[in-house]
Amino acid sequence: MSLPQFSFDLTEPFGLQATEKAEMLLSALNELTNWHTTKCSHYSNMRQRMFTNGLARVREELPFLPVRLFKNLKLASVPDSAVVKTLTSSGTTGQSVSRIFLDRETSVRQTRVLSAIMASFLGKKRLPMVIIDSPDFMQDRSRFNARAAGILGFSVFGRNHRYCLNEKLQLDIDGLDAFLEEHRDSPILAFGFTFVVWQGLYQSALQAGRRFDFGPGSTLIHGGGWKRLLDQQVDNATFKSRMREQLGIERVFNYYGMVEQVGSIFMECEYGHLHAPVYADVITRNPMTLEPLSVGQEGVIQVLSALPISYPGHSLLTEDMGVLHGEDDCPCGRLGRHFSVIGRIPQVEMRGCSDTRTIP
Amino acid sequence: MMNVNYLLGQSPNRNLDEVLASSAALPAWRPFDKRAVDFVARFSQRLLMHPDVRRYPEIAALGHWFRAARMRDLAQNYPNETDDAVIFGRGLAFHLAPANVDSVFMYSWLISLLAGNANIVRVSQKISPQLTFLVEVLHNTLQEDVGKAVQGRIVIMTYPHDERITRAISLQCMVRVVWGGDATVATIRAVPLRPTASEICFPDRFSLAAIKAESLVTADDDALKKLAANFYNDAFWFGQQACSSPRLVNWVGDPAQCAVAQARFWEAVRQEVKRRAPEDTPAMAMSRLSAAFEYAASSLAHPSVQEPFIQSPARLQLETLVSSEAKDLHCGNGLFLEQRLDALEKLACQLSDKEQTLAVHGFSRAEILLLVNALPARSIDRIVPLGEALGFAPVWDGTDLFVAFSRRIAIPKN
Repeated sequence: MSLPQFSFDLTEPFGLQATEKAEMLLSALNELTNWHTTKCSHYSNMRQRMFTNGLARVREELPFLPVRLFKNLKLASVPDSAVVKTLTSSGTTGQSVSRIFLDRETSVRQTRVLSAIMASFLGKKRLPMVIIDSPDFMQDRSRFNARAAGILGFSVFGRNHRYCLNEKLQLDIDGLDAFLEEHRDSPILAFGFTFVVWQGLYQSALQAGRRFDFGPGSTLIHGGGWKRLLDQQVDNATFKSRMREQLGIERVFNYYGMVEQVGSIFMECEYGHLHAPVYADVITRNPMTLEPLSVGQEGVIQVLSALPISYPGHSLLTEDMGVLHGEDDCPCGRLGRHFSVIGRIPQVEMRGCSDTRTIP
Repeated sequence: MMNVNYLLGQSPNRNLDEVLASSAALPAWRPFDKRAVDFVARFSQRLLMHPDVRRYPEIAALGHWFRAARMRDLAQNYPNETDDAVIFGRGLAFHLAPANVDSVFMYSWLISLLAGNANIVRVSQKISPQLTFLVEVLHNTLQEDVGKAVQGRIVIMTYPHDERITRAISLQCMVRVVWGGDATVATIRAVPLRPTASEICFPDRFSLAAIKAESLVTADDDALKKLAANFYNDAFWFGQQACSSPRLVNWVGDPAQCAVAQARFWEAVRQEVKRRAPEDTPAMAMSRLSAAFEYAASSLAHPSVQEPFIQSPARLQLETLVSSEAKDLHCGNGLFLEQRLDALEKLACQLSDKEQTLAVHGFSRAEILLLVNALPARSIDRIVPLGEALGFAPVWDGTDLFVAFSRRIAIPKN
């Protein structure tokens, strides 16, 4: 069986109209379904039992896997010897983590699409880059998780990298001052995980009574989820205004993505909507019936990506709730579906006498 | 240094060593000592009279179980003195509750109190509304005259994971009662007890139902409706998470009969679920769905019917004999494994020490005895009519709690 091709024009990552995109993406995803059915026995077993076997005629008919499966099953479509990188999710202590196996081709595709998307937001020129994290975090390779992978992946879009937090995630105020002074004549690119940016950069600056000025045209890109900020009643609008006030960063872009689906980086546009690039898509479904929903209805998010060759992650049902805003009609001009993420499906308390906690 | 927080029976932040010394020094009482019985009866009365009890049907059931009349009956079965023995509680009992208080656990430590013991109860750090409610009612009962005599015999505490505290209490108690997952039981078991102390563990169990297809094929609509209501009570309370909640439904009969019976039964259950509308959240639906995919991934089971699979009751047809893997994957929340058997006793070879309750419908005593005689060692603790799976009995997991919580002092016969 020949390797599923990846024939999307990456010079225009948001440039395909709905009808063209639907046909192209569906054929790529159907090809991936067949590929993984042949290459991954777990996937084949699940597809055969949980879905009718025919090819999908529309994106809503594509078989999907619940994202939680990657925590409990080893799902790979290549032999171990072909795996060049294993990604893990950044689960909190005690939780099991997802394991995602990348081969060279999948990894190369991931780098290519990320570059294409970033170029459309940042231009081709590399900017001086502040990484809002601790350099120590990166040195510990035993924790090569989603956060480390994200930092490494995004680092290539900047130059003269400066990590601005220490190992306790406290802000190196003098270091940041010096960096901003040194690059006064250029816009700055800042990158970090949402809660690290908030806690390590913003709150540190606030507590120290320090305002910074990243300078005109500077951009912050952040992702990784809102859970901890929503716990503190911080929403996207608040986040943006605080970044502007305290740090002088005008352009703040959130992105939505997950380690389980490489390459699915849904970037937030100037109007606050997340965008599906040409090789990826989103569907929302009623969480109780799984029926596909239309624009404006809140539901559980399913993500599609034409990238994953080495593991069956091309169509995943997430545990995030979201809402579609439309397709090809965002005022920012980017084509494709645009949407917002509302938050995680609230977890239930476990009841009964069987518990998984241990008490000494 | 030791971070123990007392919810009941001791002043907050009292030194653990002092508490242990005073609890261990309390005399053991005879079973059904009037002081204990009066206290429990009053507690049950207060529970049932409390306006909030309506929110917690499992607590109402608890209150009902310990009503005065029931305790009088029970006392008949457990005399505190016989020709050749006098019976006492064992002394200090240490109870470790599951992470979320399960009502079965409440039964066990009230029985321990009735059996004559002083009790220290460790509950989870995460206090559920049910526990808060129970502690409040216990507290108010202790304030009454009837509470004076049992002061100090019920201490409820919580502490963060700290082996030193568990060890200190374990070295003082005469009986230790552990409720929880298999991992919890293993962890606690590693903590030593006094040489003379005993231990009872209630680990994870798996429960199932068996229905004779023939009985359903001929049942009229009313009987069917009643059966569905009974099944609902067994399987949908506690989100199917109790040890006794059936998770596997065995159909006994020929394929044609079973097909008819299954169709009738599940339609009736679906109606019952619709009518009683149990809690069913997106997270519960997602957990059913993920479990179904995991069963499918390992070729263990597939959806029984081609319909929107995620909805409760969700049914999976087993493809192999029920394995320990299949039992461990089950997540509750309205998910049912199914299989067909030619005869009830064919179930025996698929069972292990993991199985607790078998709820049955439509079988003769002879058929049940055929199964019982074929059971492997330690499998199945109770076979009950469908609808009574969650009912409590003083013999739990095969252990008579009144016996386990007491001891006999032999005396010469007259």
